[in-house]
Amino acid sequence: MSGCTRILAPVVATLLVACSPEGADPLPEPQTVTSQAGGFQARWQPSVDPLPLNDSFDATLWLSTGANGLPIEGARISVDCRMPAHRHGMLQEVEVSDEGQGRYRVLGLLCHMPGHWVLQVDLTRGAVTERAQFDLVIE
Amino acid sequence: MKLSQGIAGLVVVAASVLLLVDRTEPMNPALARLSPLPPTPLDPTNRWADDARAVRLGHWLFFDPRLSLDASVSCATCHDPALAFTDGKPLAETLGVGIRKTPTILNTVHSRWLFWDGRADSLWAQATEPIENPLEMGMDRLALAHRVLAETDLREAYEVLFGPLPELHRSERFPAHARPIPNDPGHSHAVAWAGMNEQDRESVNRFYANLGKALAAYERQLVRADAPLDRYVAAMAAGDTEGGGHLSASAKRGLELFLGRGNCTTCHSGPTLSDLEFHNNQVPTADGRPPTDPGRFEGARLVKANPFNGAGAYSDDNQGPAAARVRRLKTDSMGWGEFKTPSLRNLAGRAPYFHAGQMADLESVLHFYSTLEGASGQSHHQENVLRPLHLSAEETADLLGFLLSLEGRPLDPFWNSAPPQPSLDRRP
Repeated sequence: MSGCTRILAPVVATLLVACSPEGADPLPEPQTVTSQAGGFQARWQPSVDPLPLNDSFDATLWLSTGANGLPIEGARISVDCRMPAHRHGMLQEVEVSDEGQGRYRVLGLLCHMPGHWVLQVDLTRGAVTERAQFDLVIE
Repeated sequence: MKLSQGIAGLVVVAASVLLLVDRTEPMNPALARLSPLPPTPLDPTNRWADDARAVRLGHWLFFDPRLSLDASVSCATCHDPALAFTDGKPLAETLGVGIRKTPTILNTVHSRWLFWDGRADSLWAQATEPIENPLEMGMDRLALAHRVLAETDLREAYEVLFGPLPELHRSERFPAHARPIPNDPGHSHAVAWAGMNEQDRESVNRFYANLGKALAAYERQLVRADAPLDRYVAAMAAGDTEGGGHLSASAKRGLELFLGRGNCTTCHSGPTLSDLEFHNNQVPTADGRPPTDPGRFEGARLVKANPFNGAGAYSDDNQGPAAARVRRLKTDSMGWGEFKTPSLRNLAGRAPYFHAGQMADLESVLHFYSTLEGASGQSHHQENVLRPLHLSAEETADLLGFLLSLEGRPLDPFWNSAPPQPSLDRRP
């Protein structure tokens, strides 16, 4: 790093932080996908950006009906991450809490290897379980 | 001001901004993640982790053979400082022969799980196990408590730190020998343990956990960092494209292979050069038969059941992150035959390699990854990562050169032998 950059970098960084709300790094935009059978929509937003390699992070998940976009409250869901190319998944289970109005907190995601991961959200209603999934890249 | 002057002014400003932008090539993020080794992490589950008196007592205990039943072996018997805190044998060998190789203790403070199968989740929980293993130190926690009571130097050092020992003189409540043995409830030690009341068992467990916490406090000192790779990365980060000359040309080519075609960082990622987790790398068994060691499958079950885990009653932070890690841990059969990814720092002196010491030297390890010759197969496991690397002789030499650049600065020799006494101070 040049001397000039070394001097300016902290100044620029300070300005950037000062311009962002509460000085925090902005979270990534939530992503939305429709379940494979079209029965619901899932929107998720991780607590950090970029997604960390081999470090625990949390996420927020919003579930709504596919037909009219109403929040799905009190859902029975299962959340996991898989690494298709390696044919394995995460080594720990996540903890999901219902925050009401179709919003769920997902604690304890941890992708321990770099590469392509798939976040799977399985929603069970009655006898039907549908899956929505998001592609994640861990670098 | 004329328009042309205005434009010229903007160009000058833009040029100035461009000149201020750092034009150094950004470092490969995978390389940046390998270094430096971060500071020693806190361990909230062990309130004595950084207490100087606990460090001293643990340092003493590590070299004290009185922790074994016949006072013949200490922790240092297998974890020999002269052999990078290993024993140089394929399988651990003390009072008996184990089924796995003695792992190093160097830098294990950065581990997420301990033992090859991760059946402990902290240094202090790990330290309690070999003492009672009949193949290792052969002791039991009641006999150890009686011994600490009887040996003045140990008793004083213990009590000044942790308070009074249990009421061991009450022989009707505290038998000479007892320990929990979940898989052998008919063993005389297990029967004696079951015969104790719960409060007394708890007090002995507390004593035993405290010894583990003192040993852990010492083991936290056993860190070797600042390897040539770290100096190379630091120089690169400072803008020296030659990395300060800290890696040879061969080692640099080895690093490139390590990060690139070798795909080594798939598992050997992060500043310990380990993902701290478990994989089945299909390494051949010593006798060529199919593997029978369940590895992580059993280790995951054991760590969840271990009363000394981070969520247990003896943890000093049993609602914190360590507790969550144990609570969330999966125990499914994917773990069958998996073993912990070892750190690649400080490899010299740790031969033989792999979980059962199957490879005599690093050349053999690289030959295996080059050819997958004799691979034991995926067995119960479905992970699909390994491909033969087909390394040339030069590439093998380059990777070896890189691996040898991971030797940290030597430990202060003070840590390599017993201190003058087990206590820093005396009872008032």
